[in-house]
Amino acid sequence: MTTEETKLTATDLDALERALVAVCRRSPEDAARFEEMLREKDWREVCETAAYSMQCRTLALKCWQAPPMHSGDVAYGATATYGNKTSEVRLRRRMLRLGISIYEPDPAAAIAKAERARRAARRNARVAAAGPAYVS
Amino acid sequence: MARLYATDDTLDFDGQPTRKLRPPSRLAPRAKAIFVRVVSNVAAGHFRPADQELLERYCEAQAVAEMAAAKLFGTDGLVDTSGKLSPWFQAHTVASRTASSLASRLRLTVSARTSKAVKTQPGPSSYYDLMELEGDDDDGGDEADGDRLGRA
Repeated sequence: MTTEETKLTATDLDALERALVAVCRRSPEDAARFEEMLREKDWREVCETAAYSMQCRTLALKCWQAPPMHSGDVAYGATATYGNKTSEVRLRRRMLRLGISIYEPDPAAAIAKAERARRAARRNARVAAAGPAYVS
Repeated sequence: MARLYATDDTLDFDGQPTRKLRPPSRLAPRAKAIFVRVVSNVAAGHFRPADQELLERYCEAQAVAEMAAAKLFGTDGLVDTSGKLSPWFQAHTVASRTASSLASRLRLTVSARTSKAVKTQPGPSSYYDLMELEGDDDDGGDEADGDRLGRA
């Protein structure tokens, strides 16, 4: 059985590339393994493997917990199967709302960065709406 | 298959009639009885020959604590007629403290027996575990604010 591949956006491509770079920087063994994989497999498959590895590592996931790239869009509660637990779906949705790729190698850092940027933008908008401040 | 014994440990056969520690003849009768009871109630591999002396001290401390308790609750009483605390109380306290300390070192306490005793280094919590612990029920709406989870 084959599943339909997700259409990759520019953000996804960038995240996948960064995942591959990050996983290769992790250790010389990982670099050699992924280099060999690139010779034998499709670029996308290798990058997805790298993203999966990075997400599991950076989010410190247990073996039964799905990384955002494997999570679904519908939550079926805390006891649902792989990828459809509430927390898994929630993280994926949060990433998508913030414009972060589901292949992001370090989702936690990316979310924090995006939320900081969003807060700063909101603050700037409030300041702009209040009008210029003149100092006499 | 049903488990017949509380422990599955086995020791290599070395020709000795018993591989459990034996009480030395110098021990007082009550201390010796405690020694035998302790050794026979733990797994065969629980004690090593190097633990012999520590176990003896534990048995002696237990015997002294028992003796002091018998005096305190029997003939002497906790306080004498002049209102003075019995010297056996001090003996009981010291012996009990010693026994308690040695029991931990000899892994004879409840916490030492627990298979899931607290490890010195807890395992890492996953991002999802932290989300649940922090009651994070927001999936990133516009109201999302604040540094969630603080992991980044």
